[in-house]
Amino acid sequence: MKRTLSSLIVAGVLVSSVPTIIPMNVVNAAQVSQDTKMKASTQYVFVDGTTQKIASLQVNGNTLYSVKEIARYTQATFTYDVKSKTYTLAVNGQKATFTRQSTHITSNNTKMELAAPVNIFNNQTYIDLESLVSALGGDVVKNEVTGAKFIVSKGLVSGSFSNAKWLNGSQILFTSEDENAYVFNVKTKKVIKQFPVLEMVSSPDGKQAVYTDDTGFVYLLDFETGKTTQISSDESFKAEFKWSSDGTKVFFLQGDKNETISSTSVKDGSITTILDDKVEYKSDLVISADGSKVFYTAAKQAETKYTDEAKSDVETIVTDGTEPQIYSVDANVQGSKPVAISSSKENKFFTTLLPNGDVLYLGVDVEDEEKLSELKLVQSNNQTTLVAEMQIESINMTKNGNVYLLVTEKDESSSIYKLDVSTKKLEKKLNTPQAVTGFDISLDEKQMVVMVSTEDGEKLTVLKNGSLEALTKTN
Amino acid sequence: MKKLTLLVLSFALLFGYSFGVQESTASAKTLSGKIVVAGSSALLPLTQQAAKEFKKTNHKVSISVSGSSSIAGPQSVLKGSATIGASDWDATKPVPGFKAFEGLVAHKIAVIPFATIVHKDNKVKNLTTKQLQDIYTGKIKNWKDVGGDDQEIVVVTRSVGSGTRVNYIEKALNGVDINDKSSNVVKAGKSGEMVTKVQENKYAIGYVDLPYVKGNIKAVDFNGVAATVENIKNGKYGIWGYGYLLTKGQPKAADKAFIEFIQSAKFQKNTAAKLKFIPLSEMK
Repeated sequence: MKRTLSSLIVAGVLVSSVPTIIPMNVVNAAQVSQDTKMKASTQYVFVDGTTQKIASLQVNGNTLYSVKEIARYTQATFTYDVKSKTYTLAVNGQKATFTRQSTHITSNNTKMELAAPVNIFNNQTYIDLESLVSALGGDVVKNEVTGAKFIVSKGLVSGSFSNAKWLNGSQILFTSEDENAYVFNVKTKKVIKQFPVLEMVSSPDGKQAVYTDDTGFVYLLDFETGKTTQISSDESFKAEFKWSSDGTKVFFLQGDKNETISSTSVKDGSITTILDDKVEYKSDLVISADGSKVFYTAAKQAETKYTDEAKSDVETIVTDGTEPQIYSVDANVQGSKPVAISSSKENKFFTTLLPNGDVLYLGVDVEDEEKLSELKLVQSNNQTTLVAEMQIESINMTKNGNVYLLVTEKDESSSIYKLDVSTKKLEKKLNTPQAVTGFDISLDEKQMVVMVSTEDGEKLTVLKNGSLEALTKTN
Repeated sequence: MKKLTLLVLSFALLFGYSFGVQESTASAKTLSGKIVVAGSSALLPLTQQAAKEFKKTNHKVSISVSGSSSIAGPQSVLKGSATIGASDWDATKPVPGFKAFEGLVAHKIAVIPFATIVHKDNKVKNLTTKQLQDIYTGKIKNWKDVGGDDQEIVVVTRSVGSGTRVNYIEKALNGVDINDKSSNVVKAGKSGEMVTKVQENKYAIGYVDLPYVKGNIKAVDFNGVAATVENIKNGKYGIWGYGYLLTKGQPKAADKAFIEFIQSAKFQKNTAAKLKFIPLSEMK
């Protein structure tokens, strides 16, 4: 970790010249040319997750990189044709060609303009890093704060991605719009495994996941082996899988009207009914850490009134009393009756069960367009407003019980705060002008994956040294 | 430069720092308003599930979804008591028994497969269009006339105004109307009620959308073809219809976003398919 951080700082110094964080001993390889506008040095660049030293040349404000070393680290073949004075690099079916002092590079017969001309200095050829890597089918990700550059030699995975969740200290699980789930290494920015499943829910230890499909069966996927096991052959519709904290059971809403709350044993697939009270369209299932309490949200269906007995002519639709309410039910007592823990008319989201048994939820007033969302705390029968006057978009609680809030600020920037529930103190962890749609905190709470909406779809980023560094790209 | 300095100075918080990122934003404007969906009970699982998922990213939108019958969809929209009507037929066009509803716009949201159903212990496995016409007009009243036991057929039908009934008359009975006055006819108000009545009577016959076929009921083959999603997709099985959402004029704001959400590839391929509806994109 120390090595990584210092490497980032070195690169940050050279690229963004931030004086407040320059270590004095970093430009040890610098070599000043006769022409004061050119300066050779060494840059630290991450290549597929490994730090590499690459010779560089600063020319008129542009930083160029050694072609030979880029070829070596990206495992491209490198040839120079003396007669035509043409350089050729090739890897993974991609071919990049350019000449001395060229202002263009050709990638598989497509000519692209270079950010700066090719330069020769002390018999070394230097080129713009982004242009060459791109011509070879890769991507260069730049940390906007430190200036550190990260080469992804085979290119970032491309598409619209969401539902990112940490599996362990270096891997995340996410899904794409093309109906695939990916296990991804954040450090190398590479896809490790890909599965043809649109939605799956990872286990507490991050080693397996459950999912269902249009058969209604429940499947268990082992990330390590890639092996899928069908654990239940029940055909009913299932939604909102939630793992028990010990990883032995998975709770879910069952039935095409989500009327039943059930759990299935991961070991033998047996299904246990927790609640079957005929109340339809339950949602926001939450299970207590010990599995003894289940929380959910439900709303009464609107009533259709007719003018005639044959029910052929509608008089009106009565929507009174159809607002969603949160209920809790004792999972260990058979026949236990649900108890409403809310009664207000607002929309309710992100029911969160705190370690001490208190419940948080996001209340959104739908009558008053101007009123911002409120974070509510329910303690026994007492309800208080914990956070008001903020546009809270989502709530995440970590395994350690720490609560994080995604907030859209008044200037439309996005912030992520850590909330101290007992003192109501908010600690800002991130602010970005980008439109953040979701986030997930790693188990050790040292890393954050952030989902960002763009005009071309959702992309994934990781918060690193103060910058949202791209993990994926949009098409 | 000023921005960069500010960024560096704001290093205070996350894991020791707090940060800003210099990229442009594409923040979506917050949707608000009240969506009231009324109508088809066959489409209810789809519209309810869509409401749950849509609200997750549209917190300011209130959505009330109910299911009664398809005719309630266009009627309640025209009367202003619902903003979106759900119907198992395109109510902007005339169908047997109903005129077109003027001023409405229809939005296709899914393919609804329908099936003729009997109790699982009924030995009849296949019925032809002619046999179904004769059963639903009262010409055939005993199962033995169609290969079953010597028992009276209890004909269960939905009331006039049901979209399932409209589709069944059009597709299964080839336009021949159901004789509601026949002595062996029993009415079912909703899809769920239809299922209950057939489940409870070993000699009942009914019709319902395919997702309801489970437990003690079974789908009967139609003209020798099994009622499966695959047979609908490959054009062999004909008892199906499109599900529609209807709005007064072109939809706006929250209503428009909700309809587009249901039509989105992600919702269609994931949720709609799991609920046994056929995604629009899968029809040839």
